[in-house]
Amino acid sequence: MHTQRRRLKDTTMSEHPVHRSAADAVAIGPATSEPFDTLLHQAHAARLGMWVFLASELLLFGGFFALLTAYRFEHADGFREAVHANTKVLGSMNTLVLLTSSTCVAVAVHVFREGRRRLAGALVFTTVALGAVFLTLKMTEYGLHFHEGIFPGGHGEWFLHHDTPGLATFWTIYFVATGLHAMHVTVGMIFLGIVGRSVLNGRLPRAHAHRLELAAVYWHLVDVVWIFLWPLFYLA
Amino acid sequence: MRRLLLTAAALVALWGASFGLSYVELGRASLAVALIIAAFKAVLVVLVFMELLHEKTSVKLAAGSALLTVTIFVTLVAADVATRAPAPLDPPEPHPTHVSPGTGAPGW
Amino acid sequence: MTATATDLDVTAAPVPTAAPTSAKPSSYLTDGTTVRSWLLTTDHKRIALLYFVSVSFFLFLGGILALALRLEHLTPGPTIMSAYTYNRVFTLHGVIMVFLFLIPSIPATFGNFLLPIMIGAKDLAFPRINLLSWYIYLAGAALLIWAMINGGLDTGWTFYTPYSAHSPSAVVPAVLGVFIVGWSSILTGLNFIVSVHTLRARGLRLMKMPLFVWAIYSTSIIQVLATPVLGLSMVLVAIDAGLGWGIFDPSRGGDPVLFQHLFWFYSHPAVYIMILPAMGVVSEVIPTFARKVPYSYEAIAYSALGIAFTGFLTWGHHMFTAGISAVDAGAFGILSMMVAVFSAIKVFTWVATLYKGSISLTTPLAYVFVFLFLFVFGGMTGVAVASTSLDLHWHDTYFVVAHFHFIMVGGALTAFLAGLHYWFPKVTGRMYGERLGLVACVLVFAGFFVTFFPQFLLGNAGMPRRYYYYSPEHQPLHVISTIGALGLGAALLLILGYLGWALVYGEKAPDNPWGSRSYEWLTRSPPPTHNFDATPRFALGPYDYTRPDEDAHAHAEAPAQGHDHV
Repeated sequence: MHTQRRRLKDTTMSEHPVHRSAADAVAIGPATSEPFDTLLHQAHAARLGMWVFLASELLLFGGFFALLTAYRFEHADGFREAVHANTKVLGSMNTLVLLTSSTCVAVAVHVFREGRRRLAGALVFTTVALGAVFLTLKMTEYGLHFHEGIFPGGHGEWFLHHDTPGLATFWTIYFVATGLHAMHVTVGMIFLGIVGRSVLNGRLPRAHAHRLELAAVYWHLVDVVWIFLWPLFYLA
Repeated sequence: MRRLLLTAAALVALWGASFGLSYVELGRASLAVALIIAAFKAVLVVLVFMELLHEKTSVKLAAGSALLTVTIFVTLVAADVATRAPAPLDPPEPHPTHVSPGTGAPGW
Repeated sequence: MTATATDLDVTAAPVPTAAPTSAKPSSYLTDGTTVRSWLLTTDHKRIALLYFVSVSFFLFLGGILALALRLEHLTPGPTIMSAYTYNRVFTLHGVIMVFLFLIPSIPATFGNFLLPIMIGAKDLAFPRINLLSWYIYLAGAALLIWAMINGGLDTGWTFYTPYSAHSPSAVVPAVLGVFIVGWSSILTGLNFIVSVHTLRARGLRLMKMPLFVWAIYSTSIIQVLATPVLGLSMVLVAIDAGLGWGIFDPSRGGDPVLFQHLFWFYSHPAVYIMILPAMGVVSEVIPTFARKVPYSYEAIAYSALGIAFTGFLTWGHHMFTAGISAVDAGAFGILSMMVAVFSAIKVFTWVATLYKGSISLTTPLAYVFVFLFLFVFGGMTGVAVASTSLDLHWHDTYFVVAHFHFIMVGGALTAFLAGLHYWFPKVTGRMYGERLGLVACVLVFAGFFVTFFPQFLLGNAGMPRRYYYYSPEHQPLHVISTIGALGLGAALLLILGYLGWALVYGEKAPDNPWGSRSYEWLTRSPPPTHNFDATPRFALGPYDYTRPDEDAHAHAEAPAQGHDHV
């Protein structure tokens, strides 16, 4: 299905993935940016760069995972009580929205490689739309929390009649972590929107499919982070 | 394509399992169960959607070392909190001879 | 040696370069002379120089603050500043030296300049991101300095909660400045990692890379994986201080010790961000001036990765007295000592390389000797403070201050100076004066040792760190320490003076003044914009001192497009 990737995989790690033959070189086209000899080579570097960046992002959220784990040991009862008070149905719907959006963008990458440009573009923008749905639901949830009197920092009247230790901590980390995640969703939507536009109007040639892949991979990471935030904040 | 859609189906099924199980009273195991299901979902997304299976060794190294580092981080922080005897910042209980904050724990 | 050479001849077809016929005297320095051509450059060598200028400026600034602190401690009471100012000055000194000097010092300057050349590439993988990282660094630095002027910062460079959440000083802009500088560090590391994996010239296997590249690569791993956690902890402090949400506030169920976990998860590996590149410099200088193959290339390369990995397992040793559990403290104590194993492997390998070498005592090598002595000294005391029982006594005393200054100044700064002299001819195309260089090196060593050795004694005698007033019996050692600091400052100014002079009036440097086999010496001094006139064949290893010079150069040259190595 994706022949370019196969070829990339075959070259060993210690050597340049330079073109094997002149025919390949013509098919792949010249490099666009300075330090690389071929586009294929540049695409691999871009992909590796994105993965290294995502590794970094994972550690950013890793800080939250460490905090949540530690606080759960310290305030087991408070955290369980707070989870039960959370908007579980909305949060779970949001998980489903993100899983669907990930599927959409994965399929978009696949069909773009096959040259079905319009379908790919439509799927990318479906993903962006699902991102918007996610953010809307998230905002609704925040609204419901504020309505109940739950504000970050243990402020609000909800805390007047709920005083198990750890409740304030749970909600503050909840707001900060989901807020940071929502920022990542927004960045991912912008990124996908820009690439999606050039997919639709044909300015992104098939040989440059890696740009779409980069945006997609970023979007998947946002999804993966949410896959873990969901049980920690809503389920148990 | 088929693989992508199968993966998507599996993700939705796992989501349903996790959501359904959250209504079952599993006590302390509920979080562990939810996180294990989450791990399965994450593995599917990373390996299939993000195509890590087909990536070169260098990309796998990047992903692997990030995972390893996060694991070390969470484990060693958790190890501290889980083995602390009384939380160091709880108000000290009225005790005639207050020796050290870690009265129940093995001493220094 | 012969096995690799024949191996490579098979694959070593010359790769055509962009401009094989470029005029000979043109170098990266003369290729565009306007301010714009510097500020908007994507040439890794020019970006390295931009970093060098900014990093040196902050070294100077941090140094002035250090001298102010030492002068203040001439007497047990107030000397030249109030206690209010004192708190701000030691915080500023720490923040500037750690985040604005030590972290970017070697990787962003020498790493940036040399890594692409050492792997036979035209530039880093993402040249524009490389430039962007410098601007991000400047933006973060500007915000930090702005915060220091408008309100100052009195939390110490560690920003410990709960105090940092309540400090009246400008905590929010300062921690956001650190957060921004962190992104520049991540982008630099990312660029290096991707370049090492994707831009090595044909035939340059991983195990044929110069050891400096291994050191920078290991450093980059730490930068990418640890810095985001610093970023997060800075954001959380900013939230606590600015919005008062109390994530670490005990009265709301928060746990300040968790802040320390987040903070040290970055800031301990950060020590290896500082020292690993220094070790890379040492690994380059020693084979060149001993004219010997490293005793074990693999041991040095793998131990760099080993230090990067174990660096992530040790952060808890900063928190032995902070209230972490005895079990965790014990685990961290043992894990911390693992770093010493890898460091010792390096030290022994370096010494074994020197043994029976044909040593020429030049300034860079003299600095390396200083490094070896001070690093071992600092490292051994590090093992001592990693023992929980001893640390309880020494924690937060001058003993710890002396220990980490032995590593950061005695190790990292000394290696920075070694690298500065070693690569000065390559970077500028001029030679510095060897005699003055050696004199300055002795002065740096003397100044350093007189400054910091008494601090071990002070700490052991019970002098706490960050105290404004101290008991009069500590005064003699404080006075000695201050005298040493003045000497160290003078020595650094001397270096600045003669290197500045050499920049303009120094002798023209040959392409390979040290007769080194490492790859950066295969190109001209200063290098052309695309690093090599013709991509060399990398036929020999970077430390192949097994054959005479002429023979080695014959192998190094590309057969068709030979460029003259005199």
